[in-house]
Amino acid sequence: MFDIKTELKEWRVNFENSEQFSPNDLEEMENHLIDGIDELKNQNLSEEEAFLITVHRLGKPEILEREFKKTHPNRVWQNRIIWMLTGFLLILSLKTFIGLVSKLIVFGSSFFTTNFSVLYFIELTISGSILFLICWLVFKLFFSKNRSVEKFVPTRLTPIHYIIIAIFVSIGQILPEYLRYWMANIHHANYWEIWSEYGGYLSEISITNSLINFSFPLVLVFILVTLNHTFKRVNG
Amino acid sequence: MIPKDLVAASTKPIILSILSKGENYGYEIIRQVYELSDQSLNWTDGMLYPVLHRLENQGLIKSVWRITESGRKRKYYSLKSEGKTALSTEHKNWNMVNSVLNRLWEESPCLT
Repeated sequence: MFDIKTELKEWRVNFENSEQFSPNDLEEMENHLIDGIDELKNQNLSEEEAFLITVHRLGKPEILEREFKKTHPNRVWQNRIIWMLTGFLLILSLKTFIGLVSKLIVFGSSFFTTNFSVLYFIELTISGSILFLICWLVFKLFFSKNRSVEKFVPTRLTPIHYIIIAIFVSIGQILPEYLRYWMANIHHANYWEIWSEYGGYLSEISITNSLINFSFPLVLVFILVTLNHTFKRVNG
Repeated sequence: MIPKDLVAASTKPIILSILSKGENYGYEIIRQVYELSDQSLNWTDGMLYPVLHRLENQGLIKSVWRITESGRKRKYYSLKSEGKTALSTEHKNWNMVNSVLNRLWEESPCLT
């Protein structure tokens, strides 16, 4: 059965693949399609025929992309900057996630053993396997024949997404610092040396460092959301 | 069929002229062009939008989103005063080209 809503959605996805079209452009062109379909249907064409003709008349995305590029030459780069910063944020959150999980597990295990090499081995294994798992997931996402995973990947990140990621990264950045501190406090003297061997300084929590680590992701997201907003306003 | 270059060159004066008759939206503009040219001026419909956006960037026209009776959002374009000036220049230029061609193609009277 021909369903006009699904077809229009599919048409839109085709155009969204190009960075050149803003949501407003797509809305305008989608309206054009609906107007065209309505008019042709009044001339006794079926909905499917009307859809095919209007889509053909509107033109292919790659041809329109070229024309839109002449009008908005900077738009592709604006989008790319947004995606680059987003990519940076995602990698940062990945790093934070791995660090956080492995440090939490090490913290837990420290109640059973205080042997430095064992703890070190645990941290290494955990972070290694999480990294492996993520690689496998990405591989599955891009190379598997079964594309059902795509449903779970959002095509556009909203400010809410960004803020959630930022808060997670901010907390994740400073929590390991506190974990180390608690660990040293709970297990006493020996630990100072053990941790400083592979964790660097650890006599007390550096407030400045925590503050920088905590605020960096938030500042990054603030810049991202502001840029996104400005570009949207400029592009109408 | 009119060659592409000529279609591209005439787009601006045509759009400005249609908008000089009042506020209008993309689909309706194309329909009017189609009708006025007896369907020989064949635009790829989508091409109109980047042109409209360019004219808007140049400050010749302005746009506003309105809600139609059917509840859909639709972008309406209208001429600004700069657009009116641009239109009168276009008008002069095209008239000039037109009159040159007309004079060349006129049957020259044979005097002998």
